[in-house]
Amino acid sequence: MTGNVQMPDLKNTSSKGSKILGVSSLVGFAVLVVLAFFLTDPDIRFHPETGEEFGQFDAVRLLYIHVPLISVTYLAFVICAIASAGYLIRRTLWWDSLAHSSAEVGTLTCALVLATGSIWGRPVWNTWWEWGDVRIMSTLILFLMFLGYLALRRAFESPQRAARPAAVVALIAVLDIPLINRSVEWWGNRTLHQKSTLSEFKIEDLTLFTLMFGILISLLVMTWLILHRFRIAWLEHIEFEQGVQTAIEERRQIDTKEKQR
Amino acid sequence: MTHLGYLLAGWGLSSLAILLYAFRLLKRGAQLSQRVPAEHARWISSPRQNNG
Amino acid sequence: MEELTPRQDRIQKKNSRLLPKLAGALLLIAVAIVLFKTLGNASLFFYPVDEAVEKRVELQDRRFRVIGVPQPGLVETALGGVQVIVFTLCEGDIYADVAHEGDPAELFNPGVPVVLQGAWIENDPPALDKLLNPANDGWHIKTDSMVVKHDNDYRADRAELESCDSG
Repeated sequence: MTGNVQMPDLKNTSSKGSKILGVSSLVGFAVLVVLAFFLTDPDIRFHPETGEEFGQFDAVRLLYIHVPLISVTYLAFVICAIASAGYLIRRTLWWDSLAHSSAEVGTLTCALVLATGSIWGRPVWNTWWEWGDVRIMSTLILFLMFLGYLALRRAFESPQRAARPAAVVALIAVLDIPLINRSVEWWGNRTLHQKSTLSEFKIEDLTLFTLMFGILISLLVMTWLILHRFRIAWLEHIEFEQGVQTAIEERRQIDTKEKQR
Repeated sequence: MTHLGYLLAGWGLSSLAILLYAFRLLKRGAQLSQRVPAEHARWISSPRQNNG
Repeated sequence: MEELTPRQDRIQKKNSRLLPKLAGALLLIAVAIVLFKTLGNASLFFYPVDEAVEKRVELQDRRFRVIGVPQPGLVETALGGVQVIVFTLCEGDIYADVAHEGDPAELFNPGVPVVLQGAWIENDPPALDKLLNPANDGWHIKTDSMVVKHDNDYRADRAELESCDSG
């Protein structure tokens, strides 16, 4: 059976899968808010000698968004690095679009990691910002490097020309992630950040579930954002190529007319 | 609830920033979709068959 | 003649690409500033109490950061018209008395490690006799900046406070 394939009109960058993902993310986020604000307990402990309350109190609820944001930031930048390596090997639009999309989403979540960390730090640490903290500083450097990555991509008119230098920058920038992650172990008692809670299993029950659920929901959100950003990058590239083809055609027509004269 | 201002600032800022970015993506996607022929959109997986 | 005239749209495109390049240069400067700030602060890395005590003569009146566990028995008093909180900081079995100027951190509590910034003073802190287990060595650290180093334990019933060997 032969027949012409007619594509439906393209109205936006959504697909059935992305719509399901989007709705799941929104519902999941609503559940996360209920868990984080109403079902989990505040961090309150009692001093064994004085009997006084101490802990993070309700400020602990900020961690249910701060930690998931860190997880997706790491993941987005790792995807960017893998896609950048893929681009350097294969030189295809698919790898480049994936690298660009994940870098943009990762930069947004990284900015939010710094912001939510700062907001949490004020009541818990007694400071908005700590210049001497290795984890904060290495995260800030990661953010600035990927901001530079995005600026570099915009500095070139042709997306193809930007792809190679951007891929190299991404591969260098991602090396900062192990430093951020391990800094609390390597610098131990010389840095303000606490050591990893998850790797030492110092969290349990609903607190652990909420944190894990938050990570899952932020993964869904990140996937939705990268998917849509990827499709935009893809269409932008097609549009640019079409523009170049049109310009070449126009130039040819002008040349032909001039020759005829 | 203690630290409510900090909680609202952290959660509010994060939700708002992601929502705004998502809307911006949808808007830009819709704009580009008007200008680029549908055959370039690989995510439309069920093209209609026209046997005519 | 017309061919040599730069086209307006090209000029605009060139200008529109200038901004990201400038942004890139500014970001490089920002990274350099961050590195400079961090390395500059390296001299202010925390000394644990035992190291701060050991380097007391060497540090003289220089400002430094010290990390330690405040001991129970906080005394609020006034020093030269300024409100201070006096307590003993420890690391292992080494103790140092502290007079902290200004409001303590919101979550400041005995047993929760703090990072303080200040300098050594060669005399007793005010209200020394009211401290439960003072270092009482003729010195104290006068501090004016306090941050809390929160632990990584989120198990409400199992979380333990830091204690000193003989505290």
